[in-house]
Amino acid sequence: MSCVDDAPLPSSDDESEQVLEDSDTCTPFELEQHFLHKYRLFDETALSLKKEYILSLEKDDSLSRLAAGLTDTSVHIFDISSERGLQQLEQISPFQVAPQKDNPICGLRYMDETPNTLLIGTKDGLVRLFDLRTQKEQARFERDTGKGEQAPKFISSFDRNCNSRLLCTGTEEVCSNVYLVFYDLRERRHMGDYFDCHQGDVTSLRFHPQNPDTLASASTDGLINTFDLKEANEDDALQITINTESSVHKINWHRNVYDKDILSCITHTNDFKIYESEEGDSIDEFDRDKITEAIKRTTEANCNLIDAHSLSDGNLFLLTGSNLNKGEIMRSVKYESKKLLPYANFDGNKQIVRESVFDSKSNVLLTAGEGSIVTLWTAQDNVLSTSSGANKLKAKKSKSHKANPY
Amino acid sequence: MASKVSRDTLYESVNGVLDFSKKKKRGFLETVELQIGLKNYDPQKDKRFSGTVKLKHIPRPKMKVCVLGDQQHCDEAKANNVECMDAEALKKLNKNKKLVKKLAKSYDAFLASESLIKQIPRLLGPGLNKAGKFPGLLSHQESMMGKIEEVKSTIKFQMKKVLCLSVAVGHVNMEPDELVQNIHLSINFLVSLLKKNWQNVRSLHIKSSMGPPQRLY
Repeated sequence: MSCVDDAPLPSSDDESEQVLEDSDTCTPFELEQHFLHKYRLFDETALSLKKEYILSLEKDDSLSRLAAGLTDTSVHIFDISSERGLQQLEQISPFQVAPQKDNPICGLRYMDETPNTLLIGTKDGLVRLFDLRTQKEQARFERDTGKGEQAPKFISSFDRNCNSRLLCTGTEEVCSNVYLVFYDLRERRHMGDYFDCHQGDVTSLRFHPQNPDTLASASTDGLINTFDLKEANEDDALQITINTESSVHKINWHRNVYDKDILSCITHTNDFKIYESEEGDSIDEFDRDKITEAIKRTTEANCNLIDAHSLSDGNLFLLTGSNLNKGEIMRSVKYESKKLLPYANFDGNKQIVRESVFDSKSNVLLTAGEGSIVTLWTAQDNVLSTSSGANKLKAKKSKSHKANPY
Repeated sequence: MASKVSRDTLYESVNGVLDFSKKKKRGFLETVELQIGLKNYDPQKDKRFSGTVKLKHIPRPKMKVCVLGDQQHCDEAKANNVECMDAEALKKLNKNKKLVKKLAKSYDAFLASESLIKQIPRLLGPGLNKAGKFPGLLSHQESMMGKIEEVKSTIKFQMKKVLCLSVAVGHVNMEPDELVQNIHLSINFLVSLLKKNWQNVRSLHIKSSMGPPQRLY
């Protein structure tokens, strides 16, 4: 919930500005000193010359592949390597994925730990399983709507659990009805639905990264629910309900230094909230103005929150962007000791970023967004591991200047 | 934040809305709404426009709030003429869906003590979730009456498919100053959420439930 200070009302003589004033709250030197974690733009590719946004991004388990979904419903697959950065492998055309117009992709997930099969979810309620080797649809998951049934059909999110047995899709709200639809991925059948736990579009669904029976859901109704899917029915499966008193955009699971499960939440009003998941206790909350301050910017109205990721030290960081100009400002802040501390400043970003994936082992970040660009960022002196083993990272275009040893 | 709606325009429009409502008295308290029309915004591609905002003056005075409280909160509620229920009372509902639904319908909003809020799924099942009335958290660190005020002052907004959004910002028995403040705050907040701020706003109107729209921008 946000409380906004009243700015004084302008008199009718005031000339209003076209664009908001927005700048750093410190000098470039101080900025360098604050954002000590250095990231380098290792590689980037533009996927479309038209104004398509990349709104889905997913990596495989070993960080060897990346799938990017565009608003024209095409899906581009990339190989990720330390030598060549991003190499596009294939593109699944709009016709193959979803022949209708206005049927955007609502998510991408690799089916299992291999990069061979990809789950592609579209708004029409379908999740397709694509075999990337044969370029063919292997299976599709759709809820059977019986005759005259009023069940909502359009979905806004989906996820599959960590052992690849369960698929869950979250619907949009229709006449106060919102469903979580469950499918058995192996037997390829609809298992059942939950329909009592939300009252707004389900915007984020996250199975627990290690526990195949734990699911968290979040919605525009402001609620975050967790479920134990071992239970026989919805009432018993519902574990906790957290009321963010806002509208939820994204949730993520994290593990803290005490090995406790944490849920982080980004709202549509650009606030960041952190909860302990066992009982739903609030750990911390940061409003948009506090976050703007933490990233050393002056103007709250341009600050937007992208995603939250786990670090290997048991902490987490929040990736933020700015709507100013083309959205070049992108910075991350680390949540540590009850504070949001400056972490990394991503120099060279060229777009408003909407999606990101992060690999905590190699500290590699991939971002994508409204400029239709996919960017690969690497932390300095960090290793980008490939399936063949660890390779020392070399920046693609930099030259090393060595003093001649005379 | 600079506003493109001047003070004069705001007062003029607010007075216009209030005058019209006085001319034709209705059998109910008319709400005053702010209508915002967007441009250069694609609901399929751009970030969702959805959330809550706390206004300065309570827009819906008749809002009924029930406190689901621990001993301390229930005592405080009773002392302040606020309706409340404790864990025992909730247990008596026996997770009966009809009773929970009835409870949900009896109040506009709920607040619950920390110790109680964790038990709601076990005590009541998902009935309050389904009704869109899951309680907000009432902690012992803040004033209960303050939190109730906050709940009554907070409005929800959500843009669905059309490029137009309507939010309740007050009612026709409010003072012009109060309406102006609520409207100004709402406009500033909503515009701050848009990617290109004012460049995404096509129009702004205010109107009473039964009255004609007054253009602000």
